[in-house]
Amino acid sequence: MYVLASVILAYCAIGVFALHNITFDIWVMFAFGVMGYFMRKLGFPLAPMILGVVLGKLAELNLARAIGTSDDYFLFLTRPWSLFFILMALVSVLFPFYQNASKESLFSKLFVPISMMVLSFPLFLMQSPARMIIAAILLLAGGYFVYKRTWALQAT
Amino acid sequence: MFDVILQAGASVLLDPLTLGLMALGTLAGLLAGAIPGFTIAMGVILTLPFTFGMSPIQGLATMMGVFVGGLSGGLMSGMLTGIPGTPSSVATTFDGFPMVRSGKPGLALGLGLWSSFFGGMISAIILVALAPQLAFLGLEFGPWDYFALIVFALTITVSLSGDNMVKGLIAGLLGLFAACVGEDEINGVARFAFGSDHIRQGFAFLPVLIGLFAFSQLLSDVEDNVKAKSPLMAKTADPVRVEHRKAIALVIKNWINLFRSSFIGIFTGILPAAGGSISNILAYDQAKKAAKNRNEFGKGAVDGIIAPEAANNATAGGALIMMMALGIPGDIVTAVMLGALMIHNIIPGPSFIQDEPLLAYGVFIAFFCCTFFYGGFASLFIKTISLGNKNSNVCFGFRNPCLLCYWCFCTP
Amino acid sequence: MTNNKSDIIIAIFLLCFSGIMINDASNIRDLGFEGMKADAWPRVVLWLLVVMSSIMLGKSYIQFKTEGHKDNNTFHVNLSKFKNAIICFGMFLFFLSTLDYLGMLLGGIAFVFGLLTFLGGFSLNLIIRHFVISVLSIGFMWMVFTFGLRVMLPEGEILRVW
Repeated sequence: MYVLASVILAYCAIGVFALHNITFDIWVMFAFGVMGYFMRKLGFPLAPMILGVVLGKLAELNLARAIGTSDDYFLFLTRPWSLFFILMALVSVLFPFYQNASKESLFSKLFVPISMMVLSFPLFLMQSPARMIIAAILLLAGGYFVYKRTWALQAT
Repeated sequence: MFDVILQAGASVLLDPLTLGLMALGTLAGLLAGAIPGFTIAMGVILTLPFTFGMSPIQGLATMMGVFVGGLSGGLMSGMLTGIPGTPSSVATTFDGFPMVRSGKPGLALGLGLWSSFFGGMISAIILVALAPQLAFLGLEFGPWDYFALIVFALTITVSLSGDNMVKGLIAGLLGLFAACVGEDEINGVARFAFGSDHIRQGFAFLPVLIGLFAFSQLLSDVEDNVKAKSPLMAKTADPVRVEHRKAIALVIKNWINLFRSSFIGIFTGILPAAGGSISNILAYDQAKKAAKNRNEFGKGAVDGIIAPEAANNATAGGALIMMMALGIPGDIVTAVMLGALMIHNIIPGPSFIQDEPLLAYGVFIAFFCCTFFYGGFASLFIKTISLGNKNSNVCFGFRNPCLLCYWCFCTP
Repeated sequence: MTNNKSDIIIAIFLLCFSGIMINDASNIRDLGFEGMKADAWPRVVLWLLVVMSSIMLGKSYIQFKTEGHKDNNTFHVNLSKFKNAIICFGMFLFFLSTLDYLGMLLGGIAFVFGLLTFLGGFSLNLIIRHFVISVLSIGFMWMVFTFGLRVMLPEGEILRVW
């Protein structure tokens, strides 16, 4: 095992150098390697960091383009796709709370249907019939589940 | 569109070098997947430097091979020794290991192999059908939508990986900050350079990735002497014969399970940050809930092997859909492929399939091809691994290169 | 290793780090063009980092207070757990610093040999095996990269050819 690890460590150094022929790259690899090791030890997940490094420049570029194109900051919320993804981001932020909530609480019963209803809203803003149909289905299904679960709660 | 597919297919399938590289990649992926502690991501990351000198399609085809091979390589060590080789084979060990213990190793390995094959096939077909449609969708995106999509990708990564959200958000923000160091994209202003010209150029993607992932993983593997000196794979008793026909018949008989698990895999692959490690457990859960013989699960049920193996191979297709159609990486492996494309000066985005149809369709066809290669190599590999395990102290297979590497690295 | 003490220390360290970086962000030049300034996005990210680190500091401090002072000896134990990793880092650092003098081939062989011997053991049999493995593996990789892929790896001053 340690044989494999040692040889692969050296191979990483060679391979990284082969990219740009700069020794600085190996130093960068070493620095991030130390950081990655301590992040693993201290309980920080590594996947968000990788995604941040990959998507960071893209995010800034798009933000700059968006602000440069028009001064209206509300466009982030009024454009249908942007609103859809921001709402999905909110749903995913609340998702761990949903997973940890007890099965009987109101929050965990209503989370999925209400998020379905909320997510159908941006789909209504889009101009195509197929998406209107999907939005209508989501809204009706969400509403049905909310009704069923709160009605059951009121009945008991 | 069909002539483009034919052209792409010809460039991939009729070029012996590309075929050879794909075969090599699949083999390397199988080896990487079979070794516990060596994740698929690391395997793909380590093939990246080799692809610098190749043309983009060859490089991507090799990495597809490693990806496909690695997703299912874990099933072998999982079933034979109970330790899954990669996190995407965790659920396979639940039923695979008991089935091997109960004396049916050939059937178990055959089921794993063929359900992976069919899962990959279904996913590849859906990939080819769906990706262009999704790409049309992506053309509607403006920069606002793209920014919101990236925010969504980051938050869902944070909420799905790890149980501490604050730490995940901090990690994501640190990654965003690391991408800020260097020159500004738009104006070229130096940021956080502290006077050094090297830092002013920014951190290249590959050293950061290799450092964060491979370096730290390898160092945690050798951190105490017990772990460091452990052999790579434990020894098993007898050589096994894979029962192909019986396995294929069983997989086709349970086609509902197969399709459901493949769809779960594709859907999980589409979500950013969710990959093979989540999809196989989800598919196992769903198969258990939908099965009639629920108490057989955990003791060697056929369904319990088909579901996770089909799901983890289908994840590759889903992850590729996101990367090809929108340019957003679905998991670490596609992030590495994105990096490889950027190294070859190709920027994937919503118009990727329109702009570079040859490359895009070439990747899809490579996916098909590698699944076929995987089917062939896996059965060969299982035979050699089991033989190698039995005679690992003898200079057995010098005629077989995998055994040579295996002996060289494993005898300590 | 996710106990509250280390969380508090990490949170304070992150706060200091983002503070230093926010301070340095004022050195980013403003070219006067229209559109988003070059220091806007880093400031957003750094302020979010400050907020998140404070949340982490608050949470772990509250947990630390409610759980009471459990094990005070964690500091000493931590260092010896990291011993292997720190020595590997040290060897890699040494390899990097001498890269200019030894070149990739010799430096790589020395590094792999040192690492293998440190992790594996010091008996003669093992040393010979480690030497063979390091020469074979680094030599093979070096040949693949130099002749196969035509990548020029760093030269050393000892053997000028490679």
